[in-house]
Amino acid sequence: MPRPLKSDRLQGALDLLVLKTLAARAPLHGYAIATHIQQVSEDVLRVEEGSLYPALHRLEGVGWVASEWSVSSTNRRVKLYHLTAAGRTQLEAEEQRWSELTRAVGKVLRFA
Amino acid sequence: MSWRLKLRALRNPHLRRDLEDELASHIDMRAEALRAEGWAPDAALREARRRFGSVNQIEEVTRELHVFTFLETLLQDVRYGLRRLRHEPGFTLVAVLTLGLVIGANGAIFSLMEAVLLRPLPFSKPEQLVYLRAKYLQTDNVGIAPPDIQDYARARSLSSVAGMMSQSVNLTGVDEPTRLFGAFVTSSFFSALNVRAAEGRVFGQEADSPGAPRVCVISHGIWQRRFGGDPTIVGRALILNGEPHTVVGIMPAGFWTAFLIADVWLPVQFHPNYQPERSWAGLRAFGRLRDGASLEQARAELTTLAGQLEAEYPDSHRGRSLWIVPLHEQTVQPQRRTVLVLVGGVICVLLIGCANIAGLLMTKAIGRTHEMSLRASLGAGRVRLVRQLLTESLLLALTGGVLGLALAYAGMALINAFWIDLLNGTVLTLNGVVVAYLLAISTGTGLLFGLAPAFLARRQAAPSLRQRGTLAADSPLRSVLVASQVALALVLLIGAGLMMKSVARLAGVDPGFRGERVLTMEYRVPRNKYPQPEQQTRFHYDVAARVAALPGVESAALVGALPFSGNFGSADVTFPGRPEPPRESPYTVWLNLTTPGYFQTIGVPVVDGRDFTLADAAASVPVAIVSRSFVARYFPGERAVGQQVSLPPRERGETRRTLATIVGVVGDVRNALSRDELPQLYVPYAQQPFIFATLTLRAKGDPRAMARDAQRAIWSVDKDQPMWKIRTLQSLVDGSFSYSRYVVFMLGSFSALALLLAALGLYGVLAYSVTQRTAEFGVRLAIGATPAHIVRLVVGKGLVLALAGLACGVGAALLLMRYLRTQLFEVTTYDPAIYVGVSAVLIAVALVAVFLPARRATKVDPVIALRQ
Repeated sequence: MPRPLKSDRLQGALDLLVLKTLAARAPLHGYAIATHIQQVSEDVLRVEEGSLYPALHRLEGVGWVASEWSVSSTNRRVKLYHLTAAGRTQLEAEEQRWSELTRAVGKVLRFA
Repeated sequence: MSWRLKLRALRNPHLRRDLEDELASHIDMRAEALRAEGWAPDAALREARRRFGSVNQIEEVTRELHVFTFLETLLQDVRYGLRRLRHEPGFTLVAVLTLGLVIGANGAIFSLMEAVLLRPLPFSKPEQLVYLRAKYLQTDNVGIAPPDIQDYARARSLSSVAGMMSQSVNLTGVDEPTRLFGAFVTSSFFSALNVRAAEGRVFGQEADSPGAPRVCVISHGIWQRRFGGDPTIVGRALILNGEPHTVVGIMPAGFWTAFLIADVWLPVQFHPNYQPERSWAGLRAFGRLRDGASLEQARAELTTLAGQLEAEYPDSHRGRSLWIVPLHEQTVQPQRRTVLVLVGGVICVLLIGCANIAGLLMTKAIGRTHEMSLRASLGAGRVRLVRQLLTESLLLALTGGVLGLALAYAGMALINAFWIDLLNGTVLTLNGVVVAYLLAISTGTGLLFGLAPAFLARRQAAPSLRQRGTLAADSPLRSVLVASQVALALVLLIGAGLMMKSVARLAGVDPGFRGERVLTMEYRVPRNKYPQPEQQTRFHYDVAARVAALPGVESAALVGALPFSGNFGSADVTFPGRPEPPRESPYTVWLNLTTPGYFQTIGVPVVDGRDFTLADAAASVPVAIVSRSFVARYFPGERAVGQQVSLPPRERGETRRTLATIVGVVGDVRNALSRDELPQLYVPYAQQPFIFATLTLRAKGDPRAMARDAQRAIWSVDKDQPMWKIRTLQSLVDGSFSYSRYVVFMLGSFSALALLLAALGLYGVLAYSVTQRTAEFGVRLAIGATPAHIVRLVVGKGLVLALAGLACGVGAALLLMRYLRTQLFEVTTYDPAIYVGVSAVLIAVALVAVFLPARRATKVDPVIALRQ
């Protein structure tokens, strides 16, 4: 079942960003996800570590992302995340909803 | 995969370390990036830590998340499942009721098995207790002589061996004379069981030596009921069998030996018949294995010992052997088969119930194909869907389990109240074992009947949304389920049918007497008060005369061994002028004692000669009455009246045989319904005095109303005389096959339930198939098929299923019914009449179940059907 975007828009947005990032270039570890979002948004979106890791584990829990342990080039134990099939479906649904939402918000803003 | 991950998270000890590693790697990478920007190494690390925030807090939040997501999805499934069940009240009601009934029946019967068969004996290290089962020629479980027991006690593999025998004991010197269950035991009885007295002490080895003082130990129950819990009873004397016995102890409240019922324990040497000789094989024996010794060791050692005894004492021991079995096995032996048959029956019912609900759920699952495809396309994983279905069936099963628990409890109360003889002193309790079993079968059935539709859903989650799914309408799995229901129901019906026929045969057996309106009671005159044989005889004849004179009594007489009472006496006879029979096949007859009028009282016909009279006294010519089978065996083609028979001496040490003249021939009576009987021979009490007697009286009206008058008549002879087992002769006959009747009752109920469930299953599958094929039937009707044709189509399909089930059921029954063989009387396990009759019933019920949907199929309107 698709998880509805919660009233907490920011959390929904973070999920969306994480899913999208992983769809573009997986597998990635948490630090890479955070820097990727930061760079692509030209430093506008800064991901808090305090939100990122709970989000990653939650997404893993509902089965939208999966993870595996690996060893980095600097010989460090890192956890790499990638998107699952269910995650890809969810991403499409969320993207659509997000654009509907922003379009709606834009209309309201233009009207006001 | 996600649920597996969550499950792992719940108990993953590495979770903490993994999380720490993950977060640490993040900080390291950030610090490295900062260093690349030109930060000093220490400062970079500090800055990375600062930006990261509280590691602990993040760890905590993340860890909680793992547990939380798991619980959340579970809760979601449960909530969704409950909602679905609520929205289909009809289905839910049928399913929960079915489950409640089958689980309840299972719980009650399992609790019976737990109490009667599984519960260990209530003694310390009960697995060490073994029973010494002696065998003499073809007769199993015969007695053992006291010196033999002392020899067996020397076995290295046994730490102790105890001898025991039981006989009722007269308690006098109290308000109303009473009979108690007496257990005459060696002192090792208490040490072998490892029990102590609650008050006072048990008797020790000194009680086994000749000339020991008369002592006794009483049960807690008797102490409470008879003596009002008076603690000063210890040290006082009770008059038992006319002799004072000092009470040395009181046993604890829960002390109960199912293999030896007792109110009072006395040293074995005070048993009235006790003889400390090799030739007196009167005791039963059990022992305790030494720590570390095995049953096999004990078997080997004692078999050898028994062989040595046989060689050493050929006169008394030739043909004797010994076999060791666990005491628990020996104790539960009489009930074992009956209980196992019931367990088998109830498991059949459980399987049928499961198949039924699986069928219902599969129908629902097919109807839900659309919903499942929708949910699958919205991203629900297959595992998640299957889990959802399993959650639903588990919810159903557990709800049914709660109802089943209540029904099982009620069933246990009924068993406790009515099946006392099968329980043999134990009580069914809703203990941990029973509750665990109920929980296990509830979840087990939930998984079992939930798996079928879940399996179906797994396969069907794939097809596209556009397909308004009616795939697998005639799933082969469903047909197999229905056919196996029919098969199981048939097995149960055949079992019940065979048992019913057997019970009918038993009830139809002519016992050789007419039990109605006959009241009986037993008594034993105290030997020390009536030491002379003439005194004993006078007592008995007085009792018979006074009871016979009571208004409301047609006739009364005494007998030594009443049929069906379990009392039994036999003797080896010879005939003057004929050679003695070989030692291995003596002329063994059933020897019984009566006073005049006995045959008339219990309705045994005198077919030749005469009954005893008062003139057949101690000093007159010895006389005997024999049964028809006696005449057929020993005087074929001759008239027996006037012939002579030589009876063995009554008292030990005597050698003079009695030559008795046969004065009458009577009909044979049965001692039990299902046993072949020995030829029977009666002698008058006056000529073979005996202290024990059973009073029989034929009342003009209700025999039970005469009990008090008859007791008073006996007390008018001796006010201290207790009597017991006051009951009607008919109740004895009926009680003799009570186990069979329990089985008939239960198997009958089970098979009725099974038949109903199987019919519902058959109906369900056909009704559904008719709904699915509405369009097809519409087409057929439109192009000219007659309603009869349609009916044939549907009924044919149903009958194929029913007949397939029938064939399997007959096969299974032929295999399984041999376990019933020992329960059956004059009925074979493949009784054709029962098999045919039961199959006919099943087919009739199946026809009704398939005809209803068939009729509905003919009502299809072609126009509407085609437009759908």
